[in-house]
Amino acid sequence: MTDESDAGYLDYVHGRIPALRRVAFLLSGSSDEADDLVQETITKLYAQWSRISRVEHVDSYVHTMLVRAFLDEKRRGWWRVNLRGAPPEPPAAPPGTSEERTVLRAALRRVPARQQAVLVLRFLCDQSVADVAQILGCSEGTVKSQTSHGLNALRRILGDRVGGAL
Amino acid sequence: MRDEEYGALLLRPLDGEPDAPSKIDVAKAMRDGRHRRGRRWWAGGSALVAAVAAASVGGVLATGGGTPPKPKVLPPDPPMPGACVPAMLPIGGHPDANLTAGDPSGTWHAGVSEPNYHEPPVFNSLLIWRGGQLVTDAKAPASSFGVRDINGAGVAVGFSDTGANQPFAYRNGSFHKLAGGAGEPVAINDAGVIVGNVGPTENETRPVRWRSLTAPAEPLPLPAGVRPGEVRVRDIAEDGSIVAEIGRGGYLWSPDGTGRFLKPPKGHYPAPSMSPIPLPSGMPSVEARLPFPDTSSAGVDPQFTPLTFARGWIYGHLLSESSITLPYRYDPRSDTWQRLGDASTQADLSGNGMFAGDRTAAYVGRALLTLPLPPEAASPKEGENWMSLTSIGDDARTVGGSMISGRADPSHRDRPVIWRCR
Repeated sequence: MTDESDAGYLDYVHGRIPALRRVAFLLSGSSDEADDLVQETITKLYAQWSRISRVEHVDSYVHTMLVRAFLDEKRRGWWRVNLRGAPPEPPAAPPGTSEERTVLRAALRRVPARQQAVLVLRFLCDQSVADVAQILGCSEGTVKSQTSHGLNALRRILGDRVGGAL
Repeated sequence: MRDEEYGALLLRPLDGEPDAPSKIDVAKAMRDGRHRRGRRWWAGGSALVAAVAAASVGGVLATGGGTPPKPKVLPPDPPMPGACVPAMLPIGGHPDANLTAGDPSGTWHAGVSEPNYHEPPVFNSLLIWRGGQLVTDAKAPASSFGVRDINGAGVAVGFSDTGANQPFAYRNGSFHKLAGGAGEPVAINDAGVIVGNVGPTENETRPVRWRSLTAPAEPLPLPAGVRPGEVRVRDIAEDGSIVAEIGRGGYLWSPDGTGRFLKPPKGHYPAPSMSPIPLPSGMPSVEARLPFPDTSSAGVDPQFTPLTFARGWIYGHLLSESSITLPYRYDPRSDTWQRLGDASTQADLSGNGMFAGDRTAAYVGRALLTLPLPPEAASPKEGENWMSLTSIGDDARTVGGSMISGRADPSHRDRPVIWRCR
């Protein structure tokens, strides 16, 4: 990769890291995991930068890479669980985390991974149905179905509580 | 309360910023990225080995270009039905269920009941309807089971979403775990050939074909320069053609074994008119649904994202040079591209057919068939229920989908629906 291309990559990445980190944090619920997801995403982005920077809508593509990294981590987590033979203990809540937030995050982790991604992208990242469909590479109808199924799952786990009544 | 409001209120406590300083190391990302670029050679080599293996076993698939022959006749479209009548499908003793797949004849439909996430979790059930009658109600082999497709013999394919997805097929009363490890089948044709995506991680996921329920997962050859993880198979046609998405573009493996990218011709693609389409309240407007702002990307080639085969055509989204998503279809035999719908139509496609975004309407040929809502979907407040369409028969006489409750109320259940048309 040329120096000019490296400069383009650095400009892009430095400008986007705060936003990518926030999305990764909302997906994973952990600063450490968020940093891992962004690190993986920008590494993969650098490996493909010469192609992506020329022909793709970079922001959309990078968000797709980030969400795929998140889904990938979910799969790796499943293997770890099975190698250990028992589910891991849930991570301790960071200091200052409200019980409501902890319960909600635990419930979200029980929802299928793609539904987690759809719910976070739509309701915490304020992405439109069309944008989420582009990011996940599926139809808008699938995004809406996954949204409905994800909310139903949360409702079944938590009961019909909303707005701080957990 | 609608789902839109419920979701936003429910998840609001999780909003926030990372609570620790960043540990992201850009210099390390560049170093590691250079190493990965170096490994792409080997990834390409693996793909070549896979291609050779596929050719020696299957004998038909290979990458390569070539101009397709151009027959004079395009695949025919079915006649537009005059009227359609919706009917709720039976769901046994389950409180709610969805219809997610249908076969090209319109005879078979498949779906799942909703799982129960309480402890201990209750697995959901696979439901299969034949001619609108519930003929199978089988407890899924794992939790969070989803059905992707069903063929004209009533064989369904799906997966369990338990972290690492496990691919399954269902035939004659039994579930069969498909070979190849973690992954998802996405489609099965009437010959029983299944295609899907398999791999232990997203980055290692490859497109595969199973020639039968007991056959090994046979990797499809990747085009030069494309790595595992960048390809997602979408559908298989009755003649064995397979279509996939690579990046934002499309790729087709033809029955004769050749593979080629699906490249729409360069040129001006008129944007849909910006006159608002009547939508249920709470739904995003047409303008808001545009996937990208129409401001950049001058000089970018148009790209076609394929989603499904239907009656000889490949239906999908075309992302124009001006970054507008348009519904298009492509006939691979004659190399013909056709714009769908009217000037105001945006695209949405799924499953075995093509459907119009937020409207309860399916494409029949190039035109839209608007479907009446079932009486059960009538609601005092507009937008509280919506229809998710998932399949349309090749003769356009049967359309399958689900009525999805848009209310944050567990007593409002999702229900499978078919429309019979004449």
